[in-house]
Amino acid sequence: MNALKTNNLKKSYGSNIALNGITLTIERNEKIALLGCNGAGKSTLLSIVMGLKTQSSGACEVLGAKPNDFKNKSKINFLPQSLNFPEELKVKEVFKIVKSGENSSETKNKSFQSIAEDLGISELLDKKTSKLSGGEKRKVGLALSLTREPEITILDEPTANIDLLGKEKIYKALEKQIRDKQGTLIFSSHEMKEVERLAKRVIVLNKGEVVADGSVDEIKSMFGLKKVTFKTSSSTSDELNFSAFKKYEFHRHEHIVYGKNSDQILKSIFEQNIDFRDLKVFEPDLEEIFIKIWSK
Amino acid sequence: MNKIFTHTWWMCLELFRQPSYFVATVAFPSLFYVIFAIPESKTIESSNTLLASFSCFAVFGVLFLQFGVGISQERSTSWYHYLRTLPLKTFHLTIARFITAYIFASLSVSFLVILSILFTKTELDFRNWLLFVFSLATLGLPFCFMGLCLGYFSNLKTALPIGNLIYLPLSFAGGLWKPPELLSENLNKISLYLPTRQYGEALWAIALNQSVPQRALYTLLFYLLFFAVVTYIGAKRDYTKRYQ
Repeated sequence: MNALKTNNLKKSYGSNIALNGITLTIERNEKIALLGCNGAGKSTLLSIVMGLKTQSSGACEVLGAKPNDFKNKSKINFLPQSLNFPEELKVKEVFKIVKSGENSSETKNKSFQSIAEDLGISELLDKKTSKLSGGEKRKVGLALSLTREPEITILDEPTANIDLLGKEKIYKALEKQIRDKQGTLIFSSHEMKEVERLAKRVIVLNKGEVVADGSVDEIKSMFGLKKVTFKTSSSTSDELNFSAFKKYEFHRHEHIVYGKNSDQILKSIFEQNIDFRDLKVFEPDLEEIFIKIWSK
Repeated sequence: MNKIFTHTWWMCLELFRQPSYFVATVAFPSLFYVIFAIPESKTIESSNTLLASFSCFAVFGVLFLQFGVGISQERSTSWYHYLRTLPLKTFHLTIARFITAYIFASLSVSFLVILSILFTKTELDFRNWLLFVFSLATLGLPFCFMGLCLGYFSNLKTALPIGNLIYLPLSFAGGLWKPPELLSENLNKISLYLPTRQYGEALWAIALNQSVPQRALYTLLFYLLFFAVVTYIGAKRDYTKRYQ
């Protein structure tokens, strides 16, 4: 049984098309990052998966059942993009409410103290939720997700509005979660660092369609170019030939060669007997790749 | 059962910690009672009747106005949508809301009862007290559904003004502030068809140790079914609008 399977999934709001035929299969225990610029359809897709929205057409199955199947609710955990809590309640009381939904007494009794410590929010447990900052609310929401132990965890932009130190704690907590527990993780994000650290597979959406699907390395090799830079004492580039590669730039004494394969670029440099210094090889930058995909 | 208990617990906690809500809900009917009812409670009969009137007013206020406005506010929050993703049924939350509303209605009535015992000639035997409390709760059920209708057919901004537009006139026209015989002739005729009037009729009869008029029971049953159907339509409409 797959964790998630969609077939030609479409969703429109009047004439506005949010999802335009998404066909996906996500196996159990996969770690997936869902990427796309604002309005690409990420949140709509996650809302359909969670049963918070209904598709206009197409099929969606979560753990072999319809998205809003009650039996699956304890197996799926969701952190929405925006989550506010009842203002008069304390954080620990909110935890109690969320944990009350657990069927297994073992899971129910599991302390959220360790998760709170991992995320650095232990001191917030006795605080009223109305006194929390935006970032603290986000961390509490994430802690709620991590204290439950479902088969699928779905996080919609888990680190939005969180400072750098907070993000680092979240990455570590999620990495620990991935390391220690089995389960499918699907998260949407705009943070490339987050994607590279947590995801094994990346699904890129643009205008409601899947435009790229693969591992981070596959996406990089599919869409990105490796960059080799070096310097020479010569102020011209007339004697050099890099026409076999995608792109070549020369700025004063610095040469930049772009190509799919960095080994071939290096081979070409050596074959031309170039007297170089400061040779550097750069991996394709995910952010640049996505900007390229989305601007198409 | 545990889920219903947990959700009732946090809903009550949330409201108890809001002094403005708690005081307004509990104190408003008591304040009216002290100003308008206690000076008029000169005999056992008038004391019992006025206690019944203001108890109906208190229960109506909590079950319809506070409950309805609360649902309308709650529907607009991300927390409400988040709860839908947890292993919970709508049933659990709805029952928890009903119980919470009844807890506050009971508190509101308790204060009235204490005031009536201390400062008026109210006299009911044990059986009638039980019947009085039981009838207040069960016959007040149409107002719960009326509150659900308000919650589903209004939004955050409109719930309170719309609620007040219904709550205050219905209380007055139902004879809960002053006896129906003091209403104008035309208003008195209309009043007979109102749920608040028939709620009052039933409770006045119990307070005076008389049998409850059948018309009151049938009218309240009609309103219960009517508002249950409208609630169903409202909930479906809300679901379609929000989740489809």
